[in-house]
Amino acid sequence: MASKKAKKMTRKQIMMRSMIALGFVMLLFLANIASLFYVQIINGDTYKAYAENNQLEDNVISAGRGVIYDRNMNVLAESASVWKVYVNPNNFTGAGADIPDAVLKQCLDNVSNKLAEIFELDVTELKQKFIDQSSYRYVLIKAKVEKTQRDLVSDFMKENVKYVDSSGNDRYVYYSFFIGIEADTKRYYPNGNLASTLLGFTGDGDTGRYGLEYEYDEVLTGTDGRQIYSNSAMNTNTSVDFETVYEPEQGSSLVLTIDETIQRYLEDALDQCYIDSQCDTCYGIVMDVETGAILAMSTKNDYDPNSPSKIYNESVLSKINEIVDEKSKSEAVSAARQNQWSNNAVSDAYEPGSVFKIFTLAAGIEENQIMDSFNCTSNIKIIDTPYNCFNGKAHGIETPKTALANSCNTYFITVSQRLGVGSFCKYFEAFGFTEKTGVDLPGEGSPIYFEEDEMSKVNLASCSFGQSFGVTGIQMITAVNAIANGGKLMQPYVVSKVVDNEGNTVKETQPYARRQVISESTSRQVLEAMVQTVETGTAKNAYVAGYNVAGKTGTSDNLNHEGQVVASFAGIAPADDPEISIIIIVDNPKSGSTTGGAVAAPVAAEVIENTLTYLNVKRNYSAEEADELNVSVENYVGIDAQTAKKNAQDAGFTVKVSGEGESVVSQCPAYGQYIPKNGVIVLYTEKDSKQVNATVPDFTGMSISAVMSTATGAGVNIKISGNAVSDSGLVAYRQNLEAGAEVAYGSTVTVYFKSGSVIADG
Amino acid sequence: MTVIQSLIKKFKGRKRLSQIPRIVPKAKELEDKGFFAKGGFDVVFLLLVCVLLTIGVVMMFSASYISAKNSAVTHHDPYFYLKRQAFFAGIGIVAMLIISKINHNFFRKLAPWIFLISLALLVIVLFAPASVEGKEQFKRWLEIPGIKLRFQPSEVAKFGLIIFMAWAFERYQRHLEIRKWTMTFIFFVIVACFAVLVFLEDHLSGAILMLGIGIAMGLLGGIDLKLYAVGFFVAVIAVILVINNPDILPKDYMKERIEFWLVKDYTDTDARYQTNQSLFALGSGGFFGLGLGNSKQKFLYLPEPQNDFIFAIVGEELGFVGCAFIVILFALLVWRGFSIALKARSTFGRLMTMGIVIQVGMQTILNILVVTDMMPNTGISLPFFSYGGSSLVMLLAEMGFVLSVSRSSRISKKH
Repeated sequence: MASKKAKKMTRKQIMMRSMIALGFVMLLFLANIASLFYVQIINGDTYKAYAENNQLEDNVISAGRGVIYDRNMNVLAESASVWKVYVNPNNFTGAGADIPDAVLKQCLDNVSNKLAEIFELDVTELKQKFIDQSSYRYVLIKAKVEKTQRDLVSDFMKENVKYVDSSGNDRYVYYSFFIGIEADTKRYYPNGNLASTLLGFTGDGDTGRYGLEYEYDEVLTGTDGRQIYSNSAMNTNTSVDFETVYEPEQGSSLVLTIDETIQRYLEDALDQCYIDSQCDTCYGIVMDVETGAILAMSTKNDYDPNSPSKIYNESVLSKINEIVDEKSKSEAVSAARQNQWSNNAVSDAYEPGSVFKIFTLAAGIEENQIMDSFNCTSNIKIIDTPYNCFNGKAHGIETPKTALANSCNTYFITVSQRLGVGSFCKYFEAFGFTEKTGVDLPGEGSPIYFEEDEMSKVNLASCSFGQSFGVTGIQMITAVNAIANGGKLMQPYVVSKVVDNEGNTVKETQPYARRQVISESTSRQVLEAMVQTVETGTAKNAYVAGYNVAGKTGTSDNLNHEGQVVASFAGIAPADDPEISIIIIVDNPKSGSTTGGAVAAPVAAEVIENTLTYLNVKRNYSAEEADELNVSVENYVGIDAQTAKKNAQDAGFTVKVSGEGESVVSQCPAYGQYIPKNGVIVLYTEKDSKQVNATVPDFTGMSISAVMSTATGAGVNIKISGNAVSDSGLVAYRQNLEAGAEVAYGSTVTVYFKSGSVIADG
Repeated sequence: MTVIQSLIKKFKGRKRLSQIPRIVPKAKELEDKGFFAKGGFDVVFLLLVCVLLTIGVVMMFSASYISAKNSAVTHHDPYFYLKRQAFFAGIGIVAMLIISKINHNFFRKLAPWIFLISLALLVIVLFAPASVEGKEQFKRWLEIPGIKLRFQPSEVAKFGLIIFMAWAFERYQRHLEIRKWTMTFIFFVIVACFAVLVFLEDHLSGAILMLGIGIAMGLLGGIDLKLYAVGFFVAVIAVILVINNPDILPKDYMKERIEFWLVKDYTDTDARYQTNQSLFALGSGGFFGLGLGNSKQKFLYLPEPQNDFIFAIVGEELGFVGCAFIVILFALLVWRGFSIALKARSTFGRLMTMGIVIQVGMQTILNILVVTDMMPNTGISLPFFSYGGSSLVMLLAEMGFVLSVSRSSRISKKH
């Protein structure tokens, strides 16, 4: 009985002791799971980061950055493959490999020499760098290496040095033990300066730094891939052929609303303006009336995004080079860079001046507060502040149209006072002048304006003709476009589509009308007044024969620099069925007449003519214009030489016959081309006869009639561009073929004219 | 009566150890006669062993592939470790099945001899160690002449200690009841002997395991629980003391290990290199892991990924989910071992089984604690996973022993 009891006790004890042991073990297993959770989940990311950082033999495969196309799929920016060349200086110490010191030394010399040779570096410096940084495994030698240089390096990497290891075996060490090549990308802008301030550029690692590249960086940037190698550094001779490749995800591409051709027209015209007017900057925007899409946008005093850090303005550069103090020099350099990089058309608020009168007019018509007949005495007093028209000129009796054509200050001051502060501010806001447009570009500037409750009647008077407030170019073109578009304020945009790398459209921008600002009939009336301004008023220089241009000029004070002016022009064409609207702003023109009519309007005329021709918009000539029109050349080929000459002369042409042949085999200009009524023509009668040449004369400064006679004498035909043909005071200011150039006899030279007389546009 | 007089009287009244009867259960009493064990073995336990062994060999292959390919020792044969491990796994499985068929009472007779042989081997290895390439400083291996088979005497000694203690606790059960402290002292001296001998091999982790096995066997065998309570507190105090003053440790390398363990410098590329790489591997695995075979850390970052740190690669490839699953498998193995043991017919069988599964559990726990940097790096291999022929055969043979016990246990026999 007793022993049985004792035995039972033991059984119980066994259970208890077993459970203590088992419990303890299970507890520790739980501790295992907890510690795994801590290491893998809670601290997992930290360790993972260390691991990735550690796996130095990882190569990043850069994801290709998306392409930027214009609206016709012309490439404006694209990335291309380049390479990075680096050295592992740690391996010059042997890095645990069984290589004799003398061999390593030899390798150090050879690698230094070769790389110095390829990349034109200093050999001793390079070698010292490898010695100093021998604890590192990665020293970048050169980034953005082009293919030719890369091939030199990779050829060298295949060479080797033979040596005998400590066990007496023959071994080879390849230069690839010390040198590595990695893929890299470089951004190319095939058109150089073209649209540079709009496109922006990329910086280190192909990330967008400015412009569209910055705004759409996330879209354009793909996800980098990785190529993982094992750490082959521990084995010199064993190649580790394993690699894991995570394919990169290519970035999406942008299709812009920009048209490369129109952009070129705008930039060519602005370039000329930048030189002629000696302005600080000039910029312009061309917008598609119906959609609000931006067809062209440019700022001059720009840069080449292929090397954005270079300073392109030579006078600024020479001034910077004169600075001795290093600190102020670097400040000046960075200021100059900011200057050339900035997209002033979007970022800068300027005082619009008289161009704004079109909006005062629109508000007046909409609210029925305009005067159909108004006597301008040039003087008007609002409370105690006197205002007068430009140069104190009294315009006399005016209709709304002539008031705009004359750019009459007193008329619009009166309209504004009749409207009152509340109504004026309502339209000011409705046209979008109080808020950013939200265009898809970075760094849009904010407008500066009077709030309704702080605007006095005197302020109102100043505002009515565009003074005492500031708006951006993009706001202005958007508002002008609303006049062209029957009163609809469109949302401006630059990117029409986002396309993935397989060509699928990921996102498409739909045109968006933000609101109806004025009625269609009001917009029509304003347009008519603007047409009159171009035909007979201050904007004559914007006239383009056959394209009924509507426009308004402005000359205003620079908001930041007293005494400097801003000349501007806003236009719409053709007025009867608007296709494009345009704004040209010239900041601080210094040469000659500095009014908007003199400086900005001709630029707009050139762009409008080229653009509408390019867009195949039909010209509608007025009867008067038709009179002055060129005639088309008949066909003379195949006709007997004598008859042909007589016929051509009868048509009014100056004729030259080249060769001794019986009949005409070719002619210049060709059949169907338009040349002036008294143009020149050459008839060739022999097949292989030499081309008859003419030298292009310098037409600059000549009147139309002088240009005509000079051209006939020189043997070239003239195409007249700009301004009303009928205007007597026209002066040639530009020609499309350079003076002195040898061209075929009978070639056409386009000559641009503008009014030489002073244009007063307030 | 003075205290001294009473002590003398008590001392004189003690029974002499030789007068206490030894307990040797007769096979007949256990209804367990014959050389071969009767009855079916525990299928659940075998299944757990097979699953762990399969996962273990697959992961060992995955972990070792790259390092094998890049090592001159393996002659750049990526399958080098796999071939050997598979070969030894085969031998181990055969050994396991044979042993599972042997009546475990047979081993009772062998116990003292196994004990003496392991003790002898532990002494021999100190004087005539086999030199292993790359690990010349350690005196851990012996080589069987002729067949060039290297093995660690400490692996044998772990089993030797378990079987000896199981044998002794059964045989001297009465002695322990009557002369409690004397017997405790004797057991302590024997365990300490094993631990010290292994420690002299410069094999700290082996010594820790010896102590662990001894402590666990003592607990299960009937050493006074009061001693355990006191011992537990002494151990806690000792650990705190060592962590706060690593200077008191006898050897510099131990001191260093503690210090590098305490100051977690993840940029260390020297003393903490292996531990750091292990953590980076585990962290890379995250929740679901990189997938089987996709470890990056095995690409020569983690040294000897097929050995003690194999679990880091497991964690990288299979993630936390996979790791937790494997830990649970080990826990189930221990639990199943205990349930087999509790139904064993003899104390020897019970203690042997418990000792074996506790040894496996302990090794797993310590290995994972090291891999996850919860404990200083000591060098404990992971059962079923780490590469090592002799230890795998030994492990499977032990599993065979557990299966043998399960045949004669009360699980398989209905009453």
